[in-house]
Amino acid sequence: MVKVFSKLVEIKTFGPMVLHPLRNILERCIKESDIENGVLYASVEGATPALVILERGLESLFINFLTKFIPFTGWEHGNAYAHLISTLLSTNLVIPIENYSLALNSSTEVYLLETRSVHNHSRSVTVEIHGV
Amino acid sequence: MTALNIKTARIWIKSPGYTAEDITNYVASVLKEMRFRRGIAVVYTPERDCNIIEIEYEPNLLKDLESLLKNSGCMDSSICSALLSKSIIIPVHNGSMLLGQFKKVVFVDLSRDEGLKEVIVVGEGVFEVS
Repeated sequence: MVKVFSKLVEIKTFGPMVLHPLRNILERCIKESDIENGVLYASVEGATPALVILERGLESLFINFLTKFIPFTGWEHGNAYAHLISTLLSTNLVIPIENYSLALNSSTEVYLLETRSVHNHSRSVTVEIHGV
Repeated sequence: MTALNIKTARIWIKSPGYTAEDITNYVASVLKEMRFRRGIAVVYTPERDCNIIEIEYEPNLLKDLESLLKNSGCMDSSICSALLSKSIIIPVHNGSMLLGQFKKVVFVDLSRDEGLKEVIVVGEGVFEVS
C-alpha cells in the first residue's frame, strides 16, 4: 500500500532576503512518517517566499545574485521584487526519499527564503510524503 | 496514514495567444469534482510556450513580470517559457488548496497562437469514497 503522510510546519522567519534552513525539519518528518521510499513534497504558503535547494557556503553569493537580477525597486507593484523572486524560484519542492533519507548530498541544504522585511513572521510549510 | 490514489482531469483554456489568466477557481472545481480530500495537486500544461506559474494576480505585478522577461532578452528568442515553470504542485488539506491569501494559479501563454490550450490536473493522495 502506498501511504500518504501530511504535516503542517510553522517556521518563524525574518528578512528581507534571509535563508532559513529546513533540511532537519524535513528529515524529522520522514522519520515520523515511517516511509522508507517515496517522494517528499514541500510547499510554503504565500505569494512572496520561496523554497530553494542550495549548496552550503553559497548563501551570500546566491542572495547577491538575486538582488542584482531582481532589484528591490523600480517596479510598478509595491513589493514586486518579493513576488517575482517567489514566482521564479517557486514555492514548492519535490525531493525523492530513499532508505528513509532525502536524496540530497550531505553538503546541500533546503532553504526557506524570506524575501520580505519582517521580524518573527510565521510561515506555513506543508510537508507531504507519499511512499511505501 | 491512508492509502494513496491518483486521478487526472483536464481544463481547456480559451487563449488569445498572449495572456496571463487566473485559473485558480477552475483548478479548485476540478479537485472538488474528483472529491479530492488530501494530498498533492499537480497542475501542468503541455502546450508550446505556455506555463503554469504561482503569483498574485494583480495587473501591475503581471506588467512587472512582463518587464523582467522582456529586459532579460528571452522574448526575442522564444525561450521565456523555459524560465517559467511548466508545472506546479499545490498541497490540499480537507479538500482545500493551501495557497495563502494572495497566491493564485496562473496560466501564462507567450506563444502568440490563439486557441484552446490544455491544462492537466493530477490529484495524488486521498479521495472521498463515493
